[in-house]
Amino acid sequence: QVSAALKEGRVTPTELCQRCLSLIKSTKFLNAYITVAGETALKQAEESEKRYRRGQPLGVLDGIPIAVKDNFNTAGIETTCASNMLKGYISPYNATVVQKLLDQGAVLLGKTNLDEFAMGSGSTDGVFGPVRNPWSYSRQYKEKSVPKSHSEDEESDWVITGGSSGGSAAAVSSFTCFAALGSDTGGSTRNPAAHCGVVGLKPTYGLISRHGLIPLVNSMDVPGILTRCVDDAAVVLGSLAGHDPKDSTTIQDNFKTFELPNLTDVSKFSIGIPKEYHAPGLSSEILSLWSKAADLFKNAGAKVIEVSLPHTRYSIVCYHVLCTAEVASNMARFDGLEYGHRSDMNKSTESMYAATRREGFNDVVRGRILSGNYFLLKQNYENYFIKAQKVRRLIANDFVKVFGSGVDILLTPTTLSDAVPYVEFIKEDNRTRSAQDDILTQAANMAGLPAINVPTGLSERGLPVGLQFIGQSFQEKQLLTVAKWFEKQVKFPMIQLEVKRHDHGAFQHQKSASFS
Amino acid sequence: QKVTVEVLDHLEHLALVDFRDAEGVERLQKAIQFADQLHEVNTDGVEPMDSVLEDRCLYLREDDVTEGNCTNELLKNAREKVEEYFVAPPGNIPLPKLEERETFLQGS
Repeated sequence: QVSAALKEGRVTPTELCQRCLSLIKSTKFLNAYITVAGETALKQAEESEKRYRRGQPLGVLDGIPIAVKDNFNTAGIETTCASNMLKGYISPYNATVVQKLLDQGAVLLGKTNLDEFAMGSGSTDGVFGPVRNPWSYSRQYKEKSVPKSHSEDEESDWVITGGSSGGSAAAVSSFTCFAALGSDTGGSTRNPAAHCGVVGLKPTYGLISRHGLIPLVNSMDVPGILTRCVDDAAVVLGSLAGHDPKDSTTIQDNFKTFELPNLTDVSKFSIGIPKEYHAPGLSSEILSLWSKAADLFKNAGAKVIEVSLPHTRYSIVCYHVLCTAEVASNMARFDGLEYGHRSDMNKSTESMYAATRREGFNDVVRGRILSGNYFLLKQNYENYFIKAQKVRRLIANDFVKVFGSGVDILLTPTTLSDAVPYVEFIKEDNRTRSAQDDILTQAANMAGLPAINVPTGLSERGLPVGLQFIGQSFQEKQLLTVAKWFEKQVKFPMIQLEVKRHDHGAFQHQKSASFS
Repeated sequence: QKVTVEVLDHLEHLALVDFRDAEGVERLQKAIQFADQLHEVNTDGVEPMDSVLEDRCLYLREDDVTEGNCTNELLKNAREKVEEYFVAPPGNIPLPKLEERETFLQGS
């Protein structure tokens, strides 16, 4: 919608950019952004405006404000991964996905907050502090809150965004940008998408380039896309997907961009409901929503069948071992010599490295590095690392069997419950939380499959709840088509944000939520 | 079984990251316990999986130089440098042994 508005001249890219920047200021308390690149964004918006005036926009994304998670390299803009290790690091290059968006004319507003090095499921463990879920400040949540005495601080019951791409999800959810990039290794895009009521797409591994995405787990990481509707996600996917010679894990097949058909008849589809996703701890609200969704498809004529992915419950353990092992390797590059933080310790190379890493990494990162090194020790390699790789194959095979039996798409919950208040969340440590929260999203990363969170409804506390669709490798078109149909059926409500503005009510809050 | 101090020390050497306190060691213990659940799964005859793209061929490109000449940009991010060199403190000096090192493990 906004793209059409830009084309018709109803709004200009610079106006759009300024509104977004001003909204970012008003919503600073959300702590969604680490770096706001105001000046460069306005310049990009001006360039875009010139193109529109000439009648030559670069495409649908020209002039559209976007945000990027702070673990993607952005030339000339600080990239920190929310860690002391990279504070002040100004990247000399753009990640391929960032470059692609800029080439399409998108306006980069800034870098969003995350868990340190994308390790976590709450966006609470970065050095710049936790991200607050915009829904904490919505009328919908406030109406359902138990009225508190005046003396109690209203500030204390804000809820988390989920993670680790919490900043990106919050940015999209609070209308400060129209699309954002996240990363997804264990659910890091879909989890915050569910908690913030936005669409979170994890593409098939190998479809989108990881060049410039600071790696966590090379065999599972993918850039993730966060938008307010499925159509937008398809547009962004179209501009990002495709072979990149700089990333040898991208497949060489030609990617055909697609327009999502407006599906009205789902009767040709077979939807699988994996029974193991009825995991312990799944809230009854979400269970009921999941069940209603299955009925929705059934009543529309689709074939809905229960399926089994027997190794689901081991996926999180498997992930734990493989992730820490790859992390131990990937974090080895941070030694203070070529970039990033460097300790003053000068006695020897090793002691300098050790001191640098001691000063630069937080407990979570250090813990994973040490665990990873443990699993990779010669005496443990076979029993843990190789074992986990074997279990990974079993998990991937589970999916192959189910899809091979005629199921097209799987429907599962995305999270176990709606967003919890921050004060509750921090009672447990990062690893426990991640183990609990990633259960439903993790397996898709193991198998490299595409998956998407579609906001489905509001919980009793007035917070968003989403459902996840998992598709077959490289079948994003089918996945998004079904997701779009579902989105239309559930009509997820728009957030009614209560935010004080900087400009004195001069403009009406942008009603259009989507840009396509 | 608990992890021995020797192994903990070895890990600190390998990772060049320290446990910092009892919580750090406890974290590792819990991680190992968690990972032990893997042994419940029967993986007889199963090949380890390295990558989901294993069915595709890794491809090569021509050995031609396509980018480079960015010395200045790369050096910008380093703290200690001399001309076109990154400067490191003297190497070949191993991390001090457990007894002489400032590490939490000394107490154990």
